[in-house]
Amino acid sequence: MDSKAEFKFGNTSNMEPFWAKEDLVKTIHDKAGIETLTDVIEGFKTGLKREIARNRNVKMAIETCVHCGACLNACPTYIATGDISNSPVGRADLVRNVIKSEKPAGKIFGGLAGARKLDAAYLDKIATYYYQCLECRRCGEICPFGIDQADVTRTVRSVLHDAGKISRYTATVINNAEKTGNNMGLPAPALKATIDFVKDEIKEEKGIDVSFKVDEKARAMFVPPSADFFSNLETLKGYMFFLHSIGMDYTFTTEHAELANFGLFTDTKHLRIIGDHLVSVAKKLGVKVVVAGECGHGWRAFKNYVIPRLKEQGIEGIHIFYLVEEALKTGKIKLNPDNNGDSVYVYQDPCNYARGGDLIEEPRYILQKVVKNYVDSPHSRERTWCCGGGGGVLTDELLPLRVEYAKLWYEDAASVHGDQVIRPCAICKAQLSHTIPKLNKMNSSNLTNSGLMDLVYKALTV
Amino acid sequence: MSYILEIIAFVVIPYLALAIFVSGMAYRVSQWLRSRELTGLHTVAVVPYTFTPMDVIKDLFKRVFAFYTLPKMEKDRVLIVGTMMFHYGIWFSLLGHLAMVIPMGISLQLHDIIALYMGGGAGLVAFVGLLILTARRAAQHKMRLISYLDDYFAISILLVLIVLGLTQTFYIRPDFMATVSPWLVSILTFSPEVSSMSQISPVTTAHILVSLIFIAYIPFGKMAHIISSIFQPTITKSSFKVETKESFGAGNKAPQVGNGDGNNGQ
Repeated sequence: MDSKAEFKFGNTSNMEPFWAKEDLVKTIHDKAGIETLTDVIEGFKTGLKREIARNRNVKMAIETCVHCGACLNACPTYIATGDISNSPVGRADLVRNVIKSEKPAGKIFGGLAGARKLDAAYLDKIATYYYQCLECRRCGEICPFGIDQADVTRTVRSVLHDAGKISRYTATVINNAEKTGNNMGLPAPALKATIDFVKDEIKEEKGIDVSFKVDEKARAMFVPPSADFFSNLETLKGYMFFLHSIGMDYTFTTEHAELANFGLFTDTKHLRIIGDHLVSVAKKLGVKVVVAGECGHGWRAFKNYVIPRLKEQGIEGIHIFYLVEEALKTGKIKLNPDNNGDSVYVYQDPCNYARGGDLIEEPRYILQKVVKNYVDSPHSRERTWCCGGGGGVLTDELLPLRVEYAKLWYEDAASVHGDQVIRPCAICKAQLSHTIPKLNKMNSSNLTNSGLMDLVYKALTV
Repeated sequence: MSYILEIIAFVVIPYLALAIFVSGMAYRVSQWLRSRELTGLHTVAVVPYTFTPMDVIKDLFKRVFAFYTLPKMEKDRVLIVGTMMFHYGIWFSLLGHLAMVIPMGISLQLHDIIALYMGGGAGLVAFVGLLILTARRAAQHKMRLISYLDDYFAISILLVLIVLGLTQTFYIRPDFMATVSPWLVSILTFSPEVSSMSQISPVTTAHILVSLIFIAYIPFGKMAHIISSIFQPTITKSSFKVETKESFGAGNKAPQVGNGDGNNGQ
């Protein structure tokens, strides 16, 4: 495929990600402890049946959909592209129809029942469309039966993973995380240098020497997404200044400087490997609590996999927003919203905070304290649009598709005359930094974006 | 209808249909319950802040009886109106059918009036609702793309069933309580007796036979959705609640954020 395929409304079959090459596949297969399949077609079918039988949420999704089409009114990938295979029900049908072909009804009625034999071309089609899903869970919210295509996507991608079909982007990120402890592949000296640089910046801007530890025993371990050590330094300032302000005895870790977990997008085995590594580092540092930074899917993986594992070790897990909210409610910190000016700030929930993270009201509480003009996006809370880069789609070759996906939230922000969109999530921030310039140009507008802790930093007074 | 045919139509087929329904649904539910994992996650709840069993129960009721999720995103008014009319129409019709097996303590005349106006009305509402849903499925290109034999069969059999039901209620007006009711009670009490069915109209016979085919079909396709919600973990397993109390405080300088007891929450 061309590095930038042209977007065509109604047919996105050309929007294929780059696929991981054999050596990379082998590396992450070795890490997951599996052999790469030799008979991909049969292996995929066997894996699909095994995983559907194993996971009740997926089994129910595949077996109880009534094809009412309600999800077509919710799914950003379908609304933005008009391609039925790029919709929740259409995407599920791609694999449901393979399953049907093996059942008596499929054998008797064939195509009438939707049955479809699996061959190499059809497998490629499945892989392409399954890597266009944002795993945003909007479908799960509208479905009367709670069918969440995001978990079907995760499962099918997991089976594709075992068959050696993994997007190069997600495979690279997983490999980085498992080799270096963070998605960006940042080595420990680089991480320490960034933290020191940010410390100096805070000193210069706020006049305070913030205290923190790195790789030392402490009561708390703070884990942001690694992008915050690279491109979201204002967010990092916010974390460090705030944690200092409440007197938290905390440490960064260079061994696992990553809240994000691309295992959630791609394969459960890697979700566990990455999550378990975080738990082992927390245990090693003897912390009582692990504090998560701003990252939507990272929070879903952390809350729904890592925290239960931490609890087995007597360690708690929490999001930094809970700490900020508590600090505000108890008057431990003081804020001056004037510091954030007169801009209109539009809050748009990251998908995995609103749908799977139970983190909807807390960031709003904080935002209304740190800025003067805060508005909600018309599609907010559970209705929030995905940034268009979630679910492992945040890769350059899919940029034309990501721009189309991004139009939904962009128009939403424009409709309330927002100046700045607040999305406290590393993927949102990266997606917005890539797409806002293009969308601003198309709309002759000047929208900007930021995280939430960035605004806490500016508003926090000494 | 000969006695043999009556036995086949009103004893053999009903028990066969019921056996297929019960064993089929039992099999499906057992298969659902056998799969125990949740794609590696502790919970997969789709509704935020559903932390307690009561939250889950409330959500389930709202889901089943108010279809509250449908208008949540971009609204599809045709789907919402069609769904509400069809399901409420069917539920009230089924309640009416129950009156044939549960003694209501009312006169036959009143029974007949209720069956005609309330039962007939509910049937009409269900019929119009189903027509709306059928038109939506047939007229919209995107809906045709996601429609298969199962969808068309379900719609067709339900349309036939409702039309036969309405024909009886509005035109034939048979004396259900003297004919169908004793038979239905006899079937459900496992002491089958078909003598009361010898004089029923072919339309009533057709309504009964089509409904039995429908009952037998339920476990095999989309109609299993009548109970699937109860087993769907995205709805019925409550969300994982993060414990925040223990996490506050314990810093390297006072005062701390936290429980205010001075021991830094440790």
